[in-house]
Amino acid sequence: MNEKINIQSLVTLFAEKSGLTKKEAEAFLKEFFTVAHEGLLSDKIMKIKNLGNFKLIVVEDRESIDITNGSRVLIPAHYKVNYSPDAQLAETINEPFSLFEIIEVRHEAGKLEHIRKARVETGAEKPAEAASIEPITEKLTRKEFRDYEENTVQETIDENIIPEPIIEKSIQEYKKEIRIRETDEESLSDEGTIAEFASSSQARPTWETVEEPQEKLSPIDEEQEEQEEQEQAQEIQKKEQEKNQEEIEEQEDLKEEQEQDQEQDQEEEEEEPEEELFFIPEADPYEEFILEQEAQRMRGTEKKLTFSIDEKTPIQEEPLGEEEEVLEEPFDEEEAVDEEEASVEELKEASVEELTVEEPSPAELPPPKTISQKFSEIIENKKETIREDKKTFYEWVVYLSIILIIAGVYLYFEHEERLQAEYVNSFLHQFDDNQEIEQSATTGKTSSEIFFREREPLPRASDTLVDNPIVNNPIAKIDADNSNIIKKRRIVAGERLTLIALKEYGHKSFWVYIYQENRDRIKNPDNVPVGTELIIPPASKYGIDKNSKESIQKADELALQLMSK
Amino acid sequence: MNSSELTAALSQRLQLSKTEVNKRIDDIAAVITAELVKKNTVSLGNMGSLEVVKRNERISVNPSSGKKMLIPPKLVVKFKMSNSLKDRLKDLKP
Repeated sequence: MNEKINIQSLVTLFAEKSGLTKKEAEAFLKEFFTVAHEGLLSDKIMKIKNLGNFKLIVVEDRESIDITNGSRVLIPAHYKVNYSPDAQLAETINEPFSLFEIIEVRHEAGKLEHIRKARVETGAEKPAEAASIEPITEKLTRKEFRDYEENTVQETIDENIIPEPIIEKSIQEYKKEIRIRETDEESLSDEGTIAEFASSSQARPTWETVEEPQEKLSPIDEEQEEQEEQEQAQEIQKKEQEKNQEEIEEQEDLKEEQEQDQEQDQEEEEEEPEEELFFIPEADPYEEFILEQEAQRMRGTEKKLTFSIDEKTPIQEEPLGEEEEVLEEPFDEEEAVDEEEASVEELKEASVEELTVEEPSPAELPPPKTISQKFSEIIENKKETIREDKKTFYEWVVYLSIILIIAGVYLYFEHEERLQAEYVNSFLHQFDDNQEIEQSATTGKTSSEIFFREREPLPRASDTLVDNPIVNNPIAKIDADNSNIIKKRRIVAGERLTLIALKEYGHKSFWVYIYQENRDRIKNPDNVPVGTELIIPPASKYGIDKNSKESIQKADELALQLMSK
Repeated sequence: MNSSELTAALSQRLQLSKTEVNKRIDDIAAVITAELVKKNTVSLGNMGSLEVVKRNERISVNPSSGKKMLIPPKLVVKFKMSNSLKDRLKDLKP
């Protein structure tokens, strides 16, 4: 393994294999390699049976940069040896990896995994769980309900692939969840048995739906499940007790009931910290935040809304078909009212109405639709108001941002203009007695042109500006008159000779003349250090004319000559 | 130069029959292959040496279909030319 087999050991091996003496084997091997070597060099290809092909390949010459001094180096064309092993040999060598095959990478698999992860992280299961409860408010037979439940669960899972919490929905969902948890907590105080739950659990599909999405999305610990089952069982027991209490109460007047409410209120207060403890660790921080904000914003209207939402929870339990739970409903409603401390007359009436309607009827019959419709209407109204609020808020944000942008642009332009004006003014002051400038000013040269000239270094006593030869421009005439005038400029970062030539003469090919004029300063025309002061020769000195093809061609030829040196 | 030319040249230089030379060349190839399978580097005299290297797995994209393919790892034989061959190649101008 990883040994180096030199020619001597190869001779030994070869001698053993072919049954030759070492001397013979060595002679043959040496001759073999020499012939192969020569053959490769003379024919540029050497094919050896069972070993492979050696080929000489031409590598074209190319330019490179010497890393020690950064200068350009031309790597001349040369040969390289290309070896392609014999197919049989390659296969034998690759034997250990021969079981691998080329696999097409499927993106979907990775994506799904990613989404699953994201879902676990964002706690998207919770909305899914809660959302599955919402549509069950409608009264359905158990079978219908089962089918519906399966669909909705599937839907909610699909929805949550991109977790996009809708504010109103999440509020409702959380309120509901709190409600459910709360009842769970309540029941914890009482004692219950699993056996009892077993008999009643089948009659309570609502709880199954709550659990199912969780099972689908992420495996829950069995212990946790068991615990929840226990909670449910306890809750049922508790409700039975409540029912008895309730039955007595119903026989009495409504006023008496209200008194009872006050007592329950006190119970509530005791339970409240418990509820909070339960809620905080469960809540998604983001949704919690939204909840908080929204709750603050619509504190006034929310009371109604939350009431109606809370109303739903007991209604959901209706298809169970057990009298106890139906009877328990009003109690829950009252509780909700008390919890929110809202004594909305209308809603109370509704609850009373429901009471009276449901008392005589067995739970198997669906409760009057009017009530649920009423509640759904209320919910719809609230949703709409929230949506409208949001809409107007976003509109305002958009308007404000547009106004800000416009203001910013206006200020920027104004500032720019002022700067320019100042520049021109100072320029004019400095060269007040300069005839050229006066001339240009009188001939109506635009401020931008002056501005452009201003950016170039100020001329010294002996120097004057040399501008682009612009036809029909008074400045051009002056320049022609002062053809022997030389201009100096300092090279700045990002500037090259060609760029300067383009600015000064109107064509980049004329960089050669600048280079010629500054040969003592410029070592490498491709790399002129920043800050080098260059002498810009007047256009007439070299017969520079950007409009003449001959002139450009002449400059190009000169450039070629210089570069080839 | 192909295999038969090589055999002819060798048989002429060593005064051996072509079949004998062929047999010996096969033996050399077999020995070299056996050593390469053991992941040993085999010297080829003044030509250079042969060694086995592992090419890592990689994902390549078919430019026409845009399909991504996972190319498995591979063991390949690599030829490394000797300095003498390198020098000779330098003198050889294309």
